[in-house]
Amino acid sequence: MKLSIYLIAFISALFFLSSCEGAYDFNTDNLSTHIELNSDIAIPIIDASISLEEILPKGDETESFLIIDNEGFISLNYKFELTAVSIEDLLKDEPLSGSSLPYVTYQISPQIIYLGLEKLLKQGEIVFANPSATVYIKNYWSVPVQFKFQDFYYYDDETSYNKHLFTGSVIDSWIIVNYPLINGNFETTEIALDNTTSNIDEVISNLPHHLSFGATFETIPGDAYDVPPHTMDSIKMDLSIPLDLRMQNIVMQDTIEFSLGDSDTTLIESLILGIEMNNGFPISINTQFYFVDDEYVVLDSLFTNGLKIDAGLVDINGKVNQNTETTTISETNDTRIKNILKSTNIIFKIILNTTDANLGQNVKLYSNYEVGIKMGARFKLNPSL
Amino acid sequence: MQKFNIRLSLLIIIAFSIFSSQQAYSQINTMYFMDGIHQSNYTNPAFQSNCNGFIGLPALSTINFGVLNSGFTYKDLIHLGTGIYRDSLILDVNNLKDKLGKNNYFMLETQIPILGIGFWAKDYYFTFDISNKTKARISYPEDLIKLIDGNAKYIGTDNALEINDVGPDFINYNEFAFGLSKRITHRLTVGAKLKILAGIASIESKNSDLKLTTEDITYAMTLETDINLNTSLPLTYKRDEDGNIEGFEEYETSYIAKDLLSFKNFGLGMDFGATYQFNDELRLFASITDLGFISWKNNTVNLIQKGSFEYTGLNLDSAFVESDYSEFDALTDSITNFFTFDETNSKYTTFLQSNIYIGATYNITDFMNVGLLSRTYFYDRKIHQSATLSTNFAPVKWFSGTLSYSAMNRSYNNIGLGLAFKAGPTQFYIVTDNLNAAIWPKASKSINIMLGLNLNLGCGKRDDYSIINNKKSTKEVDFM
Repeated sequence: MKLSIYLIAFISALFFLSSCEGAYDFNTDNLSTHIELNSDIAIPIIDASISLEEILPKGDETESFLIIDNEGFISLNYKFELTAVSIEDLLKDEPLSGSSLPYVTYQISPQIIYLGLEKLLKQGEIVFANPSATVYIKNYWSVPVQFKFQDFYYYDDETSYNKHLFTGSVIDSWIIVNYPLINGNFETTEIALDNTTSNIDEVISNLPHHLSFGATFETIPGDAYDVPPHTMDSIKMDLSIPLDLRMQNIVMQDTIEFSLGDSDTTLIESLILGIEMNNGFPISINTQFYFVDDEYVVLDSLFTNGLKIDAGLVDINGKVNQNTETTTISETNDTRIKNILKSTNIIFKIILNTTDANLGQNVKLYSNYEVGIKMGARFKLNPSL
Repeated sequence: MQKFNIRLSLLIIIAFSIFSSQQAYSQINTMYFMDGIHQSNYTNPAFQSNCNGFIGLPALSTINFGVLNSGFTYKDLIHLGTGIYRDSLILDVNNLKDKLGKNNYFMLETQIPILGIGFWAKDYYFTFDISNKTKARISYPEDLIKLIDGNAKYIGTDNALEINDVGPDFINYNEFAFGLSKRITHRLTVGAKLKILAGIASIESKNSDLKLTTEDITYAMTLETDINLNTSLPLTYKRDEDGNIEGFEEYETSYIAKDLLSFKNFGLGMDFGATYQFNDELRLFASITDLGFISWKNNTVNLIQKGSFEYTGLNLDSAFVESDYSEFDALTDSITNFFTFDETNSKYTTFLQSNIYIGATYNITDFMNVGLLSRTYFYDRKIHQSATLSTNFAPVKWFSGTLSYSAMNRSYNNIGLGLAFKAGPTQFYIVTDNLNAAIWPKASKSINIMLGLNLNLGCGKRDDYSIINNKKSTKEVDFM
């Protein structure tokens, strides 16, 4: 009996004491938002496989500047509508008909063709194998005339100082312009500029800002003539740049503003980036991201030794016949992360080389080339947060 | 020599039981050796009443409730911090991880009596019980929770994270138990119980296995699943136009009685037990309970999902090609499609969660003994072990009690208590394995309690199972 009483008394005392200590208080109003985590998480970030065909503009958009042939080979194609000259401009004070066509000349004002290719290249060398241009003269004048380029230059930039001569047998010679025998009809004369008739490969490979040329029309006198008033001659030019080329040490570089705020700590303590590239392009890429401060002093870089993606292997025609796979692991520790936190800008630098460019190998770009990238990130959360 | 062997055996049993204690639950260990309570018969059908008859009143004779989180306690997860956080509660997820076992469970079990009868007929003790039982369980393996630490330690195709048996299990059934026990010899008493079972609701995770593989370098993830879920619920499914389940029709309360009395989901169960009076002091016990099954046939739905889902990162090529592409929508669609279940309507069988009890009591005085009980509980296709050491006493005729210590649920601070009071034919009892759960609820993994009001008729006229009458009993028999 006594034992029972002692037992009940003891248990009652325990209840009392524990309730005094808040054993039954489940209120969580003062629950801290602080959670100490030491998570080490690995997740896939990107899985992309992109072919040229997918990212090239579709349909009508391509007609003005992209030509893809049946095999998928790509050419850049520029079309330029240039000047138009009326018969009155040509003949000036001479009558529009007569027994003998007089000798007259007409100077076409300088024609400027903007290409903007200089933006592609900061450093390095690019050589296009077979660029070509065709100048079309659509002639409604039913009189014999001839045509000659003058002062055909290509320019490194938008100023007129850094210019180089666009020359060649076709450019430096008079060209007989076809003319219609019946008034109202027209004849077209095509003037082909290629590697055999000009230095166009040199011109295009220098990635000019623009081209500029003048020209002269002059009549071939003697025969009777009768030209309807207001008939016009028009000039246009097509420039074709087949993407059959080689590039060496082409550098692309830009700076972008970057800031993670004023905090000197970050959610992430360390970061490992794992990258697998499957490159079906005949172009190797060597890239690096530099984190710099306001004075553009480099504080750190994203990859220890840069990210290098090998170029696809090509056959003797310059077409890729074997993709290459490149694996890179980049580890970023807390010191590097702190440097990144201090940075205010990122300079990214990409160096491009085509396959065996140093051996003089040209490569061709096809629309079915593709590049695949798989990237994952493993990061440790900062437990002090 | 014989005594030495017995002591050695006891030591071995104690050591094995304590060190292998994993999960045990619901049926209260402390009750096993409680004196003169009809409900002890639930754990060993050989137990006989020392009263001529017993009547268990509906809902009053037994209220048995148990809830368990075997992984961690409230205090393991939420407690006062230190240093600058000393005045705040902190969510201590790191501490939680350290407390987990390989397999951890949230469990809920109840037993609601509808009717209980016990009576003697000559030398036979008969019992008849009707009760409704519920067992609900969901497991959360240690590896699943440790994903808080991230998945980095599972990188590599030969180092996948495998999580098995995570699905829910739920069962609710009515049990009609017919028990019979008899003293075979002056030492040996045996008993058995036949249980006719009427299943009401079931959710069975036959398979619920997940495997997550994280590749080197790109950390691309592949989730392989093998899920097989069987259900039999007294509910009408709502289906969309494709026939897929999208919810339940509102349950008509008028169906309750019909569902409760239905035997469409029929099952059988058996309990077996024995007690053996080894000598004047030592008594041995063994029983197996809930050996049985229920065959589920009513309104069954078998949901099967087996497949592989790969996530390799943002699909940038689609983003390039499709201007209105949304990676989130695409991922959501993929996951939704992946987790589409195939449905069949086959019958299935679930097995009861069986127990094996082995124990012994040793008389210290005329009114007190000490007991040791080993309980092996079978569920989730695993063996779960617990052990209880108790002192059982009945100093006066109107009161008996038990004080116990149990190692269970990977918890070693379970102090149990059982009290039974008699007043005339009425008997009130209350038993728990976790008195500390009431005193220190934040530090307890489980709460289990059984209490009720019994009507005992003609007590004191029999002495088969009684501590206070044990002396008298032994005097009548020359054991040695």
